[in-house]
Amino acid sequence: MKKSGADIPFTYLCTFSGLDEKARRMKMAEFAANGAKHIVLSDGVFKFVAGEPKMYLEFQREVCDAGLTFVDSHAPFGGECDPAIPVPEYRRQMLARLKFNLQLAADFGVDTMCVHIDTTLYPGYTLAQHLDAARATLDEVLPVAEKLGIAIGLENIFKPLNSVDDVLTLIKEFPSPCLGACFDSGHANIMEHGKLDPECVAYDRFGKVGETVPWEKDVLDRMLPHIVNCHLHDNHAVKDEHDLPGRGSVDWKNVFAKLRTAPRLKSMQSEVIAVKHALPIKTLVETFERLRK
Amino acid sequence: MVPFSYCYDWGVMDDNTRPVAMEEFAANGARHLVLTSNLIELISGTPKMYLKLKEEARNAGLDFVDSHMPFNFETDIALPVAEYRPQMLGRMKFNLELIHDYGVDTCCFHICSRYRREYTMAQHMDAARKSLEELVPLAEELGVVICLENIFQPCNLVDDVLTLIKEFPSPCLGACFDIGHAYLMEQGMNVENCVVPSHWEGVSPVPWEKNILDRMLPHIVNCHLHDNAGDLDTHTIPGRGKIDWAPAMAKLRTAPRLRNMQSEVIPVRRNGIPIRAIVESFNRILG
Repeated sequence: MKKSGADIPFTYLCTFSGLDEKARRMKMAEFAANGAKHIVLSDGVFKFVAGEPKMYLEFQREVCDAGLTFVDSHAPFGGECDPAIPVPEYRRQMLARLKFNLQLAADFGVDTMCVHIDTTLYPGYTLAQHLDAARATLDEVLPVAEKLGIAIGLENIFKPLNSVDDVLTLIKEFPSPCLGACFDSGHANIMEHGKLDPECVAYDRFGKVGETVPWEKDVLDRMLPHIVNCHLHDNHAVKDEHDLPGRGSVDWKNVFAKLRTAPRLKSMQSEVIAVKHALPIKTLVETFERLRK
Repeated sequence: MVPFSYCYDWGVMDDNTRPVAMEEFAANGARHLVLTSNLIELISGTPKMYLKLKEEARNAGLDFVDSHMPFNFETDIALPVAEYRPQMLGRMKFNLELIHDYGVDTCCFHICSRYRREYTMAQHMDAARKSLEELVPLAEELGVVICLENIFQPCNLVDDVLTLIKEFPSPCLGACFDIGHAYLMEQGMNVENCVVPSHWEGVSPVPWEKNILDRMLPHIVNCHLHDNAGDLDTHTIPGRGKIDWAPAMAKLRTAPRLRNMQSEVIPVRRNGIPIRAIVESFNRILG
C-alpha cells in the first residue's frame, strides 16, 4: 500500500561529538524549531551512554526537554562491534555490547536498529568465515531483539560482506519480524553507478581484499520487501559524501516513491552529515520536508 | 604472596598520557594494574579501546589484576527504580564480559552508591538481591568473583555485605575489604568533621561499626588499601593517615579467599602523589 510520506516517522542524524550539555541542548532545540520531531539514536550516542552511565538519564532528559523523541537507531560499528567478527576471543564482548545496546535502544523507545554486517575484515579469515560468524551472532542476538520488539535492519554498504546479496541471504536464513533491511540510498548509488569512475570508493574497499567489485542493480527494488528503516543521503557515486539530497546524483523522486510502498518500513532517516558539509539545520529539514510531500 | 595491583586516575588521562603513566608504574617495579571503573567506561564507550588498552598495558610489561565496576546511581545493583534496572543489568553483564576478556577474575561492586531517600533500605536491598540473582550465574560462567565493598553509606555496611554473601553462597560472590572505609566507620565517631554522618542524614543515626576486618575476613577476595585520618575519605598513601598498617596487613594475609591486593590511592585528583611514592609506600607495608 502506498503511504503518505508524512505517515512514516522521519528522523535526523544529529551528531553531538565535542558538544557539552548546553551545546547539545541548543542543537536539539534548533532541530525542533525547524519542525523536526525525531532524532536518531546514533552510534555516537550509544558510545556516549555506554561510556558515561550518568548520560543514560541525562540524555533522555535533554531530548525530552527539546520536544523530540528517538525512533530509530544505529548500532556502533567497526572491528570490535561487528556481528561478523570471526575471532573467537573477541566475540563475547561484541555480543554483550550488542545486547546491551539493544536494551538501551528499547529503553530509549526505539523500534529499529541499523546494524552493519561487517566493517573490518580480519586477516587470516575468509569471507565465508566472516559470514558464518554473522550467522552465529544473529542466532544469539535475534531472540533478544524479538523480546525487546526491535527490528534489526542490515545495511547495504559498498564493502565485502555488505552487498544486497549478503543482506538478503541472512534475512532469508533468519525469517523474523525483527530482522529486515536498512536501505542506504547513498551506498546503493555507489554500487549501482560507481563503476565508470576509477576513483569510486568501492574499488578501494573490494580491491583491498583482492575481490572484484560485484556492481549491483535495482538495489532498492530488491531490498524493498524487507526494508524496515533507511538512510537517506546523496553523493556522486564516487565517494560516500553523506550530502544533502539534490547535491548528488541519487534519483530522489524514485527513491521516495518506492520507499512509500515498502511494506515493512517503520521509519525514514536523514543520514546527511550536516557538520561535514556545514549545512544549516533549516536547509536540511526543509529539503527533506519537500521530498516527503 | 598474592598479586598486588595499582589503580590510577585514568579518567584524567588521554591517549598520550595514559601509556606514559603505565611505563612509570612499570619502571617503579609495579607488575599489575586495576581495570578501574574509568577504564571499563573507556572500553565500553570507545570500542576501539577494547584492544588498544590491552596493548598499552602489554607494551609496558603490565597486566590487569582486579577490577572495579562503574558506580553511580545508574550502575548500582541496589537501583530500586524498576524502569532503569534493565539498562543497569545489561551494563553489568556487558562489563563482566569485558573484565573476563581482560583476564581479570575479581571485580569490586558497590551495593549502593546513590541511596534514594524516597525508597527504603529494604527496597534497596531487595533490588540488590534481584540483581545478584541475575549476575551471580553469569559471574560463575565467566569465573569472575563479584566482591561487595564495605562503604560508610547506607546499604553498604558490613552487615549488608555479609547478608548478601550468606544469601547467595557461591565461589563467585565474596567481599572487597576497604581499609579506608573501615577506618572511617570504626574511628569516625571520635573525629571532628568526619564525613560519615552527612551520608546518613535523613536516613538513620550512623551505625558505627567494630571489628570490620575480623568479620569480613573469611569472605575477603580482594581489597582496597589506602589511608585517611578518620575524617575524610582521602584515599592517600599508607603513612599519611592514621591507620595502623602492620596488624591489618598481617591479618589480611590470613584471609582464606584472598586473591589479590589493591592500592586504591587516588594520586592525581585528591592527593598529588607521584607514582614512585605510591609504589614505595606499599613496598614498605608489604615487607
